[in-house]
Amino acid sequence: MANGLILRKRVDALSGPELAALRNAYAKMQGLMDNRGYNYWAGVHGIPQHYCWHHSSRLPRTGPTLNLFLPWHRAYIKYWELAMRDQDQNAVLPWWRWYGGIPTAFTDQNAGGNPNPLYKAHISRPNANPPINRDTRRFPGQGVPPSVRLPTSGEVASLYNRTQFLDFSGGPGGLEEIHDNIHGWTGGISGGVGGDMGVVATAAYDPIFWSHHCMIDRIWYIWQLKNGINNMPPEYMDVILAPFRYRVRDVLDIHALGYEYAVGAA
Amino acid sequence: MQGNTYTSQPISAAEIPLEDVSRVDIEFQQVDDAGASFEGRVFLNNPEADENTDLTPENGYAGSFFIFGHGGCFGDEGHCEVDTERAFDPYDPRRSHPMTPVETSVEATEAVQRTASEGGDITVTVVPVITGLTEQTDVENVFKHDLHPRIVAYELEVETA
Repeated sequence: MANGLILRKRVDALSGPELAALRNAYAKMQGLMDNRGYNYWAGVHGIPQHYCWHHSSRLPRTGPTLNLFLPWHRAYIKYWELAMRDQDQNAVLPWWRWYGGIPTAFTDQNAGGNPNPLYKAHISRPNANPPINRDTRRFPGQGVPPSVRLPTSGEVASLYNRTQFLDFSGGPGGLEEIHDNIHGWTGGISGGVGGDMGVVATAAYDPIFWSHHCMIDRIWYIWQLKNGINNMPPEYMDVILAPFRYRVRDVLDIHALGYEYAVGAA
Repeated sequence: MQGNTYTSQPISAAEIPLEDVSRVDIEFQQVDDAGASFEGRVFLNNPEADENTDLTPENGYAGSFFIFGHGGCFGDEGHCEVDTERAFDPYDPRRSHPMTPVETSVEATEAVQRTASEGGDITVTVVPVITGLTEQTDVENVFKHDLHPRIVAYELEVETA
């Protein structure tokens, strides 16, 4: 960790002890039902709190349309990482490099003689209507059209040539659309049952969600290096990314947030 | 798995510029993201299109957009009802309802120009192919509002000395 920054790595490049720390943090969070726990933080995104920003929305309710998909999720996974490190100071959020499918870190059902906390989590939402009390589900690539797939590295690299933030983030074929596709592919549908990554309500309960968004965040960072750290519509800058204590301008520089991405292939 | 399709009112092709444009988008308003996740396959002048229709120019395929939906309502009665007619309140700092319908678009330059060059009116049909759902998802009624598709042409950039 240079200059006190956390160095985020690709999940399949983690050392044995690094992966063990990640698993330890997730396992501990999954055992907590208070506001330190896995269900609490997953519930910020979908059921029951629904804070997340996707596509375009308005602030205030009748104001102009904004697309805060990238800034909001950067704030979200930063808070997630803090909560994670509260449970294990050696844990660092890694990114999922999509191009090779789902890494074994997330598909192994057991690790070290215990259930793998990166494979699934338990959703406990007794106050949802209807209540939810089950393990997460994942049917990657099943029951979805061929157009719903993982991207190629070339498709992602082409995004770096989009010079305007809104075109890069939310335009046709932009990063959010690629993100949507990966959610659909990862969740999948089997026998009429949808995987949890496929919808906003339950996506963050799947342990792979966090590394999916770490990859999204990293791609935005690489784009920023080419197109400007402050490349953002001016009217977005002071929008508050509730429920987090950040405005959009506060999350533009990842070094100011205390982390960096390890050098590696796109 | 597909939901009910949406087909627009006819749009006059005469109003669409065919020359000196660099890009043509089809923009959609009021796209519901409270329910299913889906791929919205956009067809021009093909109201009979469905999820089995080949994505070819001959079938009027213009492109797809993707919606990451909430999956349906898991709240109490009224939780996911959005009051889109709510009057502006300068003292209300809250963001819009998370289930507020969204705006999206597809880039459809070739498809629009090809169809417009044939003259007459253009209809826009969207076939929602389901990509994510829960037990609370209404997979049939994916579109709850008129999408008011709008064809937007961007002029070529003018070079200056």
